[in-house]
Amino acid sequence: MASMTNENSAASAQFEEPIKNFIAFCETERAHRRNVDPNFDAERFDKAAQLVVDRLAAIKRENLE
Amino acid sequence: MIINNIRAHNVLKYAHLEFNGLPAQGLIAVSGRNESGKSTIGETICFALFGRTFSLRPEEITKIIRWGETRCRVLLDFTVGQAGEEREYRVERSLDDAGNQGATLTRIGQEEPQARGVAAVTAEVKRLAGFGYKEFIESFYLAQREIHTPHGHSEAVKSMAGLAPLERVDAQLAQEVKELTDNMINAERDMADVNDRLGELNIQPDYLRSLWANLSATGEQHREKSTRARLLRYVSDRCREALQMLKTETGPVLKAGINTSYQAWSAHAKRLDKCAKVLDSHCAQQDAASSTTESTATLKDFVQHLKEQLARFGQMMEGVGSYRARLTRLLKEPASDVAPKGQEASLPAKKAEFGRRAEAAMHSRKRARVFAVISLILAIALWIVWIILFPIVPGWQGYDVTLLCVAIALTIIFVLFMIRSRVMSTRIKRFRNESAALDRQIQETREEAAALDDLATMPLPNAVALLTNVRDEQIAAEAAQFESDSSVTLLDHDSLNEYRRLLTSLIARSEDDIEAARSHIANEVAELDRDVRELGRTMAQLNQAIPVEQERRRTADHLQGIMQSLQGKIDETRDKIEIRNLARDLLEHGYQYVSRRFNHDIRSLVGKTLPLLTSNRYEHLQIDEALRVRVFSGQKHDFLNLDEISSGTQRQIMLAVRLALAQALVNTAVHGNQFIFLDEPFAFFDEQRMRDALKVLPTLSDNIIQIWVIAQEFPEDAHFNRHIRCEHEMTNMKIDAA
Repeated sequence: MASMTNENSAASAQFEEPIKNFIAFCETERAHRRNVDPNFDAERFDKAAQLVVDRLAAIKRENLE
Repeated sequence: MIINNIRAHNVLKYAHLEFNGLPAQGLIAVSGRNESGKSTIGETICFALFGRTFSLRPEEITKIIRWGETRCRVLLDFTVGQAGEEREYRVERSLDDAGNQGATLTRIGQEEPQARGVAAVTAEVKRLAGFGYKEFIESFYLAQREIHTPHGHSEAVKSMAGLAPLERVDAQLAQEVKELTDNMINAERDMADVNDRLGELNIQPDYLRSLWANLSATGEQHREKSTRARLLRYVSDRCREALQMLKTETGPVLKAGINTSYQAWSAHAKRLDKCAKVLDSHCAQQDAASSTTESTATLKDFVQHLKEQLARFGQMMEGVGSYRARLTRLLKEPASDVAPKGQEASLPAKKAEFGRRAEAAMHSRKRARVFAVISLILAIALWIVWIILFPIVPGWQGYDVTLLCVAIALTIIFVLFMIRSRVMSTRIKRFRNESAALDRQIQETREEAAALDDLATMPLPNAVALLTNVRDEQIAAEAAQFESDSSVTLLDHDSLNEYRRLLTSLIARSEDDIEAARSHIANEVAELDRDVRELGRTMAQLNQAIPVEQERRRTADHLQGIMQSLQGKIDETRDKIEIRNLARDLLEHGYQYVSRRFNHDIRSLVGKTLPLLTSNRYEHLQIDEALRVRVFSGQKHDFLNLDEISSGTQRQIMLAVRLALAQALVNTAVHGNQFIFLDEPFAFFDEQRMRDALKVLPTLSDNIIQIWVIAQEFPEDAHFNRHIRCEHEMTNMKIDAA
């Protein structure tokens, strides 16, 4: 199991960064939009962001299998 | 990924190529003149890892097989993983001149391959290495002749920057938005169809309720009219029965005459009363036959009048009853000789009393006669004695007076007894006469009692006449009054005939009224039957229409459900589309964000590398999204395009950018030690610049530690961890670890 984890580390790394980067962007963007848009729908924003993160995670899982 | 061993057969110019124990860290130099087989080593590595080379297109890959051979084979041992977690693998590929490729990937120490087959092995290598062919040739593999930086929008760079997954997700979302939009359009089309079907159904909200209300009202009318029809038939039947009864029962009444008795009249009156009541209850009191009310009332008045007449006679008869009881008492045989005190003695008792008195008188008369005879005999004897013997017999003189007195007394006694006898005889005669009178009275009383007993059965006029002659004055007076009363119609022919005619006319009127009522009822029943049939048809139509409407409603409900479902689906789809569009918007901005960060990183990396490669002549450069590079010239105090600077500097900058990309790829995807293969990177470098570059290369990255460098020749004083020298005529080369 540990070896599998190790084996997957390289492939995992290819997708960790995009997820991290996107999450970092979303946090910044969320704060920005909240500040500039009085009608900002945080719930929908989070939903959309989570959708992308889920898809990225799915791609990551898909590449790890 | 660090390359440990390479073994190749029949690859390009080499019949056999074998490098064992390659240094994991440091510079591996490959030198030789043109066409000496330097680039073949890079091509061999590339083929071993990805089944293709940079210089050969995939469709001409068989050209990698050494000239004159039919098959080539490559083995490459490599290590992946971070420090302390390294794993060693062997990738083996073969290719024949028919284009048939074989590949296995085996972890060193294990017998069974971890992947088998060209595609599987290539994918597994990509998974283990963290990069694929495209990323490889844009970063760790700088092929000969390639002097450009990769385009910023190339897949490899996107992959290095971590943009490829974002693009992939964006593509997925774009595809989903398209599909969802198609779905929504289809759903809206379906909804429009369903809406059209609903419109065609044209469901009226209150229609079913109105049908039920109509059915209820119609059913109620049906029940009412049916009930009314049954009631009318019943009333009609009862009227017919009443009429039949009237005809039957009044027949004997109409035949009644002057000789009809009170009892018979009473029976007739009962019949008539019964008929009148039946008519009243069966007809007159029924709404349907209310037209018979007047005639029935008249008949009832007639009957009432008859009953009143008979009641009056009945009252007289009740009075006669007490009188008749008195007669009974008068005729009652005495139980004892003495009548009860306070009661009138009966006639037989009186007669018996007279008999007893007569008998007592006869006894008295008999005794008187006996005593008279005795006294006569004695008187005669005394008289004889006094007359004959007194003068003869001496001494009797003294007794003559006494004797005379006795004789006289006896004579008087005789006379007295004779008188008494006579009185008794008279009394006896009187008693006998009175007894005879009582016998007659008894006979008359008996006859009268017998007549009174038949009072109810004798002709009514006779009965009334009998009553007028009874010895009870009150009864007689009442009877006389009754007889003379003009309202009494039962005692004489004329009144009785008139009375019968009246009854006949009343019966006829009742018949007429009943028939008229029945006719009216029949008409109403016929009308009701028509209405009932019509209502029945209406109910049947409603009973058919309601299920149809219910089915239509079910269909409408079903369609409404579909509409709601479709609307829900559309709303859900719209929401999904909006979320996905928002996600795509985030991806787009995120893409720019990541891209800017990547450029920043690349710029930062190049900024560190470039001064080292250019002896600090160039430090600052601009890299746009397309990875177009502009470099700042301190001499010109401006950013210059690459074509404005020398070829050597261009190659230096390109090398710096390539190294930065390689480092970026290591940072984002590899996460471990990595080799880099630079095929003649110093083509336009002067010797000093090459020397400086060779010195700097091992220090540029903590991860890119195995550096393959190809050049025709290196400076003499250059230090390498392994130096591979290629020669033109060399087709077999084997280098083992030092």
